[in-house]
Amino acid sequence: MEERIWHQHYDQGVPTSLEYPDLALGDLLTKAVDRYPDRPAIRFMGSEMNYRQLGEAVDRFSAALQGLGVVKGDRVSVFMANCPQTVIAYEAIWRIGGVAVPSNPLYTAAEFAHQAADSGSKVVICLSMMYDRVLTALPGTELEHIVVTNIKEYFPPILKVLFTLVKEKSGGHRADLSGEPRAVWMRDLMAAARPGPEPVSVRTDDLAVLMYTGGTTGVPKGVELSHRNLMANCRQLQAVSPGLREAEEIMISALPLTHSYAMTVCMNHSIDRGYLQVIVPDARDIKGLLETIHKERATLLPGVPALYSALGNHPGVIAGKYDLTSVAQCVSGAAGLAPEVQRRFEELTGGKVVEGYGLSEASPVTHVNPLGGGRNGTIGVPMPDTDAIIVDEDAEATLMAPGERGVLCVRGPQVMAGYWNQPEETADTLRVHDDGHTWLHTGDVAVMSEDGFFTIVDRKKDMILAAGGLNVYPREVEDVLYEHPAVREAGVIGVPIGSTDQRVKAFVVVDSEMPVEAQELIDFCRERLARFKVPKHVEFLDELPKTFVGKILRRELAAAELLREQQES
Amino acid sequence: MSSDRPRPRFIPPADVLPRPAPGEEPIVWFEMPGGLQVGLRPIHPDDRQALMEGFQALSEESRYHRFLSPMPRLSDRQARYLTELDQIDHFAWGIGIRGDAGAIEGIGVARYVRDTADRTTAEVAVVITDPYHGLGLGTLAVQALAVVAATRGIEVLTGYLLGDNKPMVRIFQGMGATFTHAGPGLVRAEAVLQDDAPGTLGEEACAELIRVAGRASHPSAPRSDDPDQRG
Ligand SMILES: CC(C)(COP(=O)(O)OP(=O)(O)OC[C@H]1O[C@@H](n2cnc3c(N)ncnc32)[C@H](O)[C@@H]1OP(=O)(O)O)[C@@H](O)C(=O)NCCC(=O)NCCS
Repeated sequence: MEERIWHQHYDQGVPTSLEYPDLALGDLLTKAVDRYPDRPAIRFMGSEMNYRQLGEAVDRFSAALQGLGVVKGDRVSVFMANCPQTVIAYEAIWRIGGVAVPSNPLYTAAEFAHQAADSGSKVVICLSMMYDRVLTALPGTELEHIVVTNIKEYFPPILKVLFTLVKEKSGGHRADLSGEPRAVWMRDLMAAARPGPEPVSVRTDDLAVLMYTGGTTGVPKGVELSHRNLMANCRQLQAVSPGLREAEEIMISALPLTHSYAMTVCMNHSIDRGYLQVIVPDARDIKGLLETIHKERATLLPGVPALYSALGNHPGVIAGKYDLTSVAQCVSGAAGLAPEVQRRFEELTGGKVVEGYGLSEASPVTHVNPLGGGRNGTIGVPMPDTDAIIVDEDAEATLMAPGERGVLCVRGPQVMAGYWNQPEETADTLRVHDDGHTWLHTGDVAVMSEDGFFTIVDRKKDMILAAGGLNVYPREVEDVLYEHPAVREAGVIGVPIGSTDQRVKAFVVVDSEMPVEAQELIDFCRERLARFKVPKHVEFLDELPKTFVGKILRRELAAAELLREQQES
Repeated sequence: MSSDRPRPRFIPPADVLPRPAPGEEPIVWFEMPGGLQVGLRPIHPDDRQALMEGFQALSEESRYHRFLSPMPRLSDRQARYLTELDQIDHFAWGIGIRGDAGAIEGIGVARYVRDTADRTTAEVAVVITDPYHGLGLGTLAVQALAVVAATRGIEVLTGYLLGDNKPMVRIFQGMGATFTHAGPGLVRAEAVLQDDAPGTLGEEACAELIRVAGRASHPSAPRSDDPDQRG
């Protein structure tokens, strides 16, 4: 690509442009199987699968999906927590030209239903603990088959027995599929399937994933990502970390694989390079994660600031119980990385923690700090073949000078084709500029320094950054609160906790005739929203602050909250 | 940044058909480029019920753009606030069309509320019910509002709008507004009222708008110090 001011900051050996072979994502796995059949591909709760075994499982499951009638272009929902079956599901869908539609494992039936219905998914692959939710969602969707798997399937034998005895029932992992002709166990399907699928020609420009993301107003839209988009993003990631050794690194996949970040940075990247992926089912189990890093001698730990902060502040870490020095590289995304969190984690591991930036619409990574000369507080510089500009915030048409704030626009091989069935939203987000190129308008407000480092100064989309890098749109939560008969007015904001995360707080005005407890409203939300979106606190007010003409400004609520906290401390 | 689209045509009171009954409250009529006739008159307390019904008829998007909140109901208290106006510091045009039975049916409201700290500034809000979007009514309503505001010593009109509210951004741009960031997804528009702003509607229309608005604030007779006299 043409020379750009930020290229001067690239680490030694990092090219400004790459060659992208015409590969589909399935080809990346095939190549890894050919080259490293005996190297471990996945480790999960102590059990292991090498690349040959992973390849075989994918072949078999893709044949099984064909048996269910999945053909090229069909959408298949992946409603899964992190476990080996999630990787198998993605890869099997891709092998036969299907389009994976990942849904966050914390989603409620209604949230899942929206994604399954909007995408027109024909099949869903889910964990047994989501089965009830899928059944509830079923009527509004076109789902013809429900493929269910129990998280214990790939546990080592002893753990499996223990899990069955102790945790399976209480944890809601037991599902009874009888009486539902559309439901089938993944295990049974695979046992009955042919060892490999009918070959399907999958091309690099075919659609691979519909990744749902909220818009400005929080109504989810399906981001269309092609095999090329996702493959290119893997290659760009590799290019910016030249020190990583093929088939040697040990990756921790702790963030949800149903999110674009972990899907690309943890899973696809690992498979492309023959790394070992250590899959962690729940990133919130900090102690378990520490033990895993320690035991597996993990080298790569993609995360979000809150995760690094939680790991760094864990009492066991402070007591020196865990050896984290194997960790060489951490790319932190989703929110600003506080200097003290970065410093602390770098000290603990002796590795590098760099902040990056991305969005589902870009597969997702577009910016990252150079390992050698990163700048704290910035999102770094655009990756190879990625161009970035800042335009004015009103019309989003005028180029802003370095140092001036404006909307960040990017382009590159990782940028989506558009939003599924949303031509207007697509035209609004992917705009052709006077230079003749199509630019992705990220909606985030940023500044570029004179020498090409980018800093996010504001999110244009109104959202709360909840723990684990998950986004919560205030409007979604307000919508639910307003469904409660006692609620007259509701305003939802994110209240900062520590340096990075925010917790969801609701301010409500209730009908004086219908007294209601905060807990009742929280429970009400819990039934209708994924856990991370549920307000942690509800405060009752006589009236919400409004502008003269009656508009509710969430920032006024946030300002009042901040003021009060300052007064209290 | 004025638009080249055809403008609404003012219908002088003498030409309004059917002729208003004696004692009927005056309405200022315009004919839109597509032929639709719309009338503007000041909102008063009797409009509370109609306002609440109009609110219910709005799409979720329109409601969200107007109140920046997905509120499904308008509280009684708010409905009163939005209809019990002093007509000077808080003024609103109701926009209506002739319904089937000849009765006037409300399809929109445009209001300003003077800033308590800075009396030369007022915040604007406008809403048109969804089936009537894109016909130029929002633009007309805001222009008619600006005409009245100017006679009340208001020099600057402001508004909070979502950055993706293109029609409202266009309307403010048409008044030469500047925009500043006001939180995630939100902008604050600020338009300094131009002396020739009424020009877009024509002098005759402006005079009639001012007369009708003035009558609402002084139902009896206009006082001599009435700023309306400035014309
Ligand atoms: C904002 C609102 C009042 C505009 O009313 P309207 O009658 O539909 O608007 P108009 O027909 O006068 O159009 C205004 C401008 O927006 C443009 N426009 C209208 N619809 C548009 C659209 N969907 N996309 C882009 N531009 C659009 C028009 O072309 C016009 O621009 P122009 O003068 O340069 O030609 C109306 O959409 C509404 O009630 N929205 C909900 C409430 C709200 O948003 N209020 C504003 C904040 S208080």
